[in-house]
Amino acid sequence: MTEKDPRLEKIKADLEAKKKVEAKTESIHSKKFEGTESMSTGLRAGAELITSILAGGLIGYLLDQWLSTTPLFLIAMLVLGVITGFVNVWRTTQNIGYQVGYKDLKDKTDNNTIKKDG
Amino acid sequence: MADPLKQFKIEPIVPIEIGGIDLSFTNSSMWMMIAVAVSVIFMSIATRRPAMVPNRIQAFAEGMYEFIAGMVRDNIGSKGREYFPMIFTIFVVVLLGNMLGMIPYSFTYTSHIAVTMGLALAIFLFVTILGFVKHGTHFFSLFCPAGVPWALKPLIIPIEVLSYLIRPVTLSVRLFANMMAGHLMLKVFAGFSVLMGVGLGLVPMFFNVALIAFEVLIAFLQAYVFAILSCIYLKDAIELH
Repeated sequence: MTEKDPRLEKIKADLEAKKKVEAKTESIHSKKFEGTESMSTGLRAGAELITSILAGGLIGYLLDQWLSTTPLFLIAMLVLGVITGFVNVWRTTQNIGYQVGYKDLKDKTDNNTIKKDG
Repeated sequence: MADPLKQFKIEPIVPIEIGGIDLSFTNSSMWMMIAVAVSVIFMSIATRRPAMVPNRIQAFAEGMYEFIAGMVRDNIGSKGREYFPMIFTIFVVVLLGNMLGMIPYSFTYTSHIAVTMGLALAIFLFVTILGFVKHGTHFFSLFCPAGVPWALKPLIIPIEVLSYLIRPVTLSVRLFANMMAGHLMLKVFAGFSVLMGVGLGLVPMFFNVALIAFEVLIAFLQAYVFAILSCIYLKDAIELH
């Protein structure tokens, strides 16, 4: 182990150089799509907020019609819709996408960055 | 000034009525047919003579393939390979619907909620059935995320159920609203041009030039968002966490 094989050393150096080039192209590639990514996130967030509230209200209204409990479910589901909308927007900004659940987030940020106030 | 909403009007081309249900072949159906024809013809030409060094059409088709393949790989993982044809089809249908709508005098079928809701519900039902087939009743654990304290569960579970149920709504409303609003705006600005005459009317016209470029971007982005969200929903059903 202590003696160095010149051939191995050369391969190692080549590999390092290649990795550097690859990392560079990778960063250029990812930069190209960065604008698209952030713009699509923005487009998603707005729709998420509005439809959550509207869908919550609609479900509540229909439940009220069905069980004739106006306006109990309308209010409850509207509040739930608002909360859901904000949670989903928060979820988008945390860059965990739309997956239901928080396990991924916990795995990704195993230290104190996690906020579980949702 | 022309009615800006006229462009969304569905007009029957071949009226068909079966059992009291209107099944007419409309301008919307016609543009869907055109989208199918364009995609099939384009892909056939692109893959007709595959070369080691691709020509322009082949390079474009391969770029599209790799774009979606990368999306599926990044969002679902290697298990998602069998769903690639579905995601690719969804992407092409939405992209062509948006892009063909940019041609003057054409019809944008993605600007109707009936179409987008149909697509979104198909995806939603497919994903839900797939989840139940793969995981059985364990699929319900999707609504009860791991690592949530007991005290928060009565709040988290309804939120998760509602976020799951509104998925088809968000998916369809986003696409339809964006396409409709964009086309409406173009038409309204074009109307301003007509009203203001030759001199001052050039201002909204130049604004419209920028808007059309923006619309093309939105057309692509909405197809991208639609496809990527389908991927994310599929991932939830394939691997529960």
